[in-house]
Amino acid sequence: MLTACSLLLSLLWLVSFGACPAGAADNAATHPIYATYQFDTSGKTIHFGVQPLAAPEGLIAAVMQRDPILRDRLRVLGLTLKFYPFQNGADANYFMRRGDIHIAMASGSSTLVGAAVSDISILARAKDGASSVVARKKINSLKDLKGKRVAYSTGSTAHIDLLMSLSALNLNAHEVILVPMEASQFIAALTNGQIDAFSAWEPTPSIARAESPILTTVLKVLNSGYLYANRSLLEHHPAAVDQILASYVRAIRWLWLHDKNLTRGAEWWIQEANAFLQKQIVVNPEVIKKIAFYEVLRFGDPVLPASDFAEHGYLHKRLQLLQAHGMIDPAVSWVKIRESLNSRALKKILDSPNKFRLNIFAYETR
Amino acid sequence: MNRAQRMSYARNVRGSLRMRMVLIFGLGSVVFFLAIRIVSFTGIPWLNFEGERDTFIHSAKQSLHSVADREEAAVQQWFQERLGNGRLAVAYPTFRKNAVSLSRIVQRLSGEPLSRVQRLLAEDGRYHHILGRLHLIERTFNHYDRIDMVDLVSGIRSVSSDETVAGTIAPYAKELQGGRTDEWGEKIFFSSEGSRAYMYLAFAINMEGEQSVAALVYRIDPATFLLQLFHESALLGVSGEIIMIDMQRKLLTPLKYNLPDGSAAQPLSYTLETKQAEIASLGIEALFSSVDYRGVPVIAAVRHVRVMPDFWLGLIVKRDEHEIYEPLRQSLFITGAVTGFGLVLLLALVAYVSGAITRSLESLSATARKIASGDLRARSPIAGKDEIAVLAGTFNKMADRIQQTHENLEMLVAARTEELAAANQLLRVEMQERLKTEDEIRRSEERFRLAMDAASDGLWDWDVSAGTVYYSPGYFRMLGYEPEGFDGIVDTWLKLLHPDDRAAAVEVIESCLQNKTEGFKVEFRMLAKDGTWRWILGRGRAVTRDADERATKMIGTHTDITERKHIENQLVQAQKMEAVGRLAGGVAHDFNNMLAIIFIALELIRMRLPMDNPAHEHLDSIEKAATRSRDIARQLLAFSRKQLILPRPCDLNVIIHELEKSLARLIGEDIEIRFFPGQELGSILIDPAQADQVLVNLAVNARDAMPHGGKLTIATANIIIDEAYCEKHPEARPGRHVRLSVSDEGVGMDKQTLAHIFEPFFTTKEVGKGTGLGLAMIYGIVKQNDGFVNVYSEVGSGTSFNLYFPRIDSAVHLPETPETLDVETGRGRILLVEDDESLCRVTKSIIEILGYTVETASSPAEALGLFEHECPDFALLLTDVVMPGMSGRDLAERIGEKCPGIKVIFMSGYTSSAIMHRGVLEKDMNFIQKPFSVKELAAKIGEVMRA
Repeated sequence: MLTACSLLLSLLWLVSFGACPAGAADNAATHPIYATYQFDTSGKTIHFGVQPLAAPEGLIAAVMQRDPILRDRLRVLGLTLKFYPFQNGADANYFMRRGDIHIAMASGSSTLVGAAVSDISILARAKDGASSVVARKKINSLKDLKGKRVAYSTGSTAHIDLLMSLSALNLNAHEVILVPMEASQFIAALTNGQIDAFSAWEPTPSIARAESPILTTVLKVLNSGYLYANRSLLEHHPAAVDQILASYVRAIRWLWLHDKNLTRGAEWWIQEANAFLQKQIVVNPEVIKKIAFYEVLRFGDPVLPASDFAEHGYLHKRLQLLQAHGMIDPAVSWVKIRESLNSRALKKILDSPNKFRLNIFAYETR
Repeated sequence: MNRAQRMSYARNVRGSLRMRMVLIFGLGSVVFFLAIRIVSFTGIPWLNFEGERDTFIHSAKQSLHSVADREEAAVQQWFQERLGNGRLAVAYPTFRKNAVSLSRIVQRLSGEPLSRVQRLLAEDGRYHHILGRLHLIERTFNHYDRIDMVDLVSGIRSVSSDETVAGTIAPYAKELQGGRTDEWGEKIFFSSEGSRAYMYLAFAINMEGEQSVAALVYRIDPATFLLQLFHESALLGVSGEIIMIDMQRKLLTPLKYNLPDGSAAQPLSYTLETKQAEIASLGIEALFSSVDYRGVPVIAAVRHVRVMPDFWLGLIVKRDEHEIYEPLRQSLFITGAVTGFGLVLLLALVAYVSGAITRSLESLSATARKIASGDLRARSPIAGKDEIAVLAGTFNKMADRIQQTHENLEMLVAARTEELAAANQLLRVEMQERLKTEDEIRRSEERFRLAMDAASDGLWDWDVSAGTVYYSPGYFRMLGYEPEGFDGIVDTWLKLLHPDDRAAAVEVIESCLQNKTEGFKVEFRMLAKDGTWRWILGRGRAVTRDADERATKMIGTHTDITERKHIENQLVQAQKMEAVGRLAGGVAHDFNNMLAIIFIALELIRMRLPMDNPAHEHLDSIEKAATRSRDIARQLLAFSRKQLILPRPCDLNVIIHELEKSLARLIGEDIEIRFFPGQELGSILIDPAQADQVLVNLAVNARDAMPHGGKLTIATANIIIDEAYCEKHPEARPGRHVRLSVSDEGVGMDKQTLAHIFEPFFTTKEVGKGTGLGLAMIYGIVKQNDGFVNVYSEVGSGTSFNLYFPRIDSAVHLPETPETLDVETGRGRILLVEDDESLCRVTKSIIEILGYTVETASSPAEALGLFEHECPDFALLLTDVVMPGMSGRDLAERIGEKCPGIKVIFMSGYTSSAIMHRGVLEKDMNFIQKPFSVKELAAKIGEVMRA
């Protein structure tokens, strides 16, 4: 059974996303929330695209927004940093391609799309998570989904993961009844029998599992995330990028340092989500904390995993899949993606913890 | 009991109440229990009721999930503990500082003998500090079989829990290279030492703000430690197995079973190429069916265990499908066995109980069967007082009634049977008569149908009141229509009538309809299927009329008279041509008489005028006009076949060859003449001059038809005309003919023009360019020579004239008339008989000029008067042929009777049957054609007088 909080969460998401399907970057230009964004064109403001509804990316961004050290260091450089919330990485990419967003955090698929269509530098790991297919009990495997209705958000990483997994297990996607649906409707639709399963990214699967014992996970697919910046930002403001990276590391270390920090971070994430949705949502912070710990904090500093960028590694396979599904131009080479990898920037920060005040924390509550 | 009785008994038993009870209650119970068992086993999907099978499979899969989750958590925990051990050690500043110092020492001693290096290290207190820590860690956690402190620059182990290897280069040193610690802070990797493979956990050591110079490396034996993680779980059964692979699908744990080739897979060297390994390498966690490394079907739960951002493991928990489903199979077997045993028991019980119940009923049933088979005296025994005994008693009473009724019924049936037999006989006779009548009607209808079908005429039957018409098959054949596409409405017939004939036809039919006439007969044209108009003779009469005497039903015929009409038209045309010919001949005759006067008068005037007299010019003009008039008269004669001719056997090919050059000059250079002479062409009898006239006139016509040039084709051929051809061409005569074809590519002619081309003075040429006598003359020449002519012409395509002449077998040569150039004079007395006074006078004058003495008579009677009493001394009788009262020939014969020696010359404007047949002079007959010149007359008189 669903609790009242999850139902409320679903309702709020339904209201906020009703007019704009998630993952549809084509709608980014006309999204009512984005329409209110005003981007500073003076060159003195760095625009950071974040996803307040995704965990753990949204949680780290929430901590960074409350980092006075970062703000002070940038002020010395004559710059300010402004955060712009987006509902997914595809939308952030849309504005980055337009030149309005300079730095962003998104999933592996969105990072690949960004690297394919824009000149970006991938600076740090954002998460090592997974998308999941959550189903009613008695459905134990993808094969059990044959003839069942599976909801998905069109174009999302979870959608791609589902198609890839069906193909890998020699199952025909046509044997599954795919139901396009807003992610915010997944849990309610699954509970009331409208669908038999859904494919989604965190925190929806965790919230669903925590709130409803009748649900089970039949599939999990590795879904990493990254912090990446427009290459022109590195060329024109390298010191500012250093400070942003330092703030990013500092946030992770602070969250790792103590459970109460993590709890505070989870609360900030909820605040940011409320602000984005312009509604009050109720969600157990422990769910968010668990996701953040498992997908980010347990690995320590967010160094880029070399294995992800290896030939035939995770990102290479993901690129081939996106190209096969027409989501990335087949002419884009793996070399171009590899050239986007920039591990030196973070290494420089990690090698000088005192200079970049990686272990000094002065977070404020807004 | 014989075989038949046994079979009958078996049939009875199968259908008996006892057997049905056994089947219904026995099998029904079995089916019921089986259904319950099946439902409990499979569940009811649409009711979401889960059966034993689903529960079991779900439980089995959940077990695999549980084991996989548990093992994944264990692996994660184990690795986090190990990483924690390493992080704890390198977290101590003193430990890090001493490690860095020792690294610098071994870097300095690099290249020194090992014993010296080991001795110097052993003398350093920092070495012992670190060595003590390493031993402490080994003992405390009991997971590492060796711990090394390695200098990252030289790869030399500065300290090792195995002191014997201190100072030596670490065998896994290359795994720590690659940018020193630039790229990693912690690292897990696999490497071999000697023949054994180990897993290593490395932790980089550096001072604050400096690069890493050393690494603390834990060596772990997978066989010893990783296996501790994977406890044999009861949930995995006997066949269950847990396999761990690295990022390259290298096997990390030994396999439970040998490979298909019998060998054992070696950890860290064997790459697992199964579906489970592939799924794990894709970062997918799922449960699915596939085959394992043995090729055995298994169900596997796969986990992707990310230990570090740059290091993950694949965990495969699998169990053979056969073992998973074995309990289900056992359950099914037991269910089957119990059901079978229960079925036997149940059947036996039901058979016993039903036997007790049905025994009395079977006795009653047997009695009933006997009665049914005709034994009406059979009765059922009555035993006891239960319901069946009461039933048996009642049954026996019913049998008594049946027996009695049966006997009465038999008598009644016999009487009724006799009555029916008599009625049946009567009916049979009536039916035979009826069949005979129907057969006669059918034959009559068949004869009528055949007659209608065979008739060439079209028969019709018009139901006037209904407006429908029946048409016979001959009707459709006549016009070419199909009966299926021809409706029987009278309006359809009316629409097919020629518009010019419709009013007349309707009028006569309407008269008949209104009883003004008894019947009707009318000719009209109807449109045939092929688009041509057919002449139809329609005849009909009314067969029934209403009270107002208006016809209600009419019948009649349609006869195709198209051919007859065609022949009639041709006949009319021929008659017209004949009449015109006669007219032309008469005109020519009078014309020639007048011309004869003119010519002779001209010559007389010339004789009397001096040569230098200017009036000669006027005389020349008069002579030209007279000559032109004579030509016209000759053409008229030719058309009217009154032309004097001298036919002789001719080869048309020779004539055409001789004339070809002249024709070419005549028609000009723009027209090409092509001549196709027929092979072995037969001879025809014709005056060569006529043949020339024909060819010249046809050539001139062709030239005029081709003002812009073209081809003129002349061809000859032998041809046989048959009777069939003659039926369609009345002018034709059957037999062998020679055909002369003259074709051009000119403008051609329409049908209306074609109908008149042979009429004299009919021309399509401009005024002054043609006399309209050319084709008329050709027509006359052909007819004069017993031939006939056909013309084919298409507007825009050209015209072809086909002239047919009778072919002759033998050649007859007639002597040619010698031509004299000078005026011949003579002596003697000549009687000139000419009814034309003027002509008589001038002829007399010219003969007298020639030296002869002339007596004239203006009529045959006057001439005969001179011979009434005597025979005067006339040497020659020169007489006209056509005269009132008597022909010149009759006159000559009468005079010849009295004066047999008198010579005779006939003169005429045209050939007369009186002296010649079809223009050919009779033998020994002298003739001079009017108008004649003085020279011609002198030559003729001289010729006859000398003879």
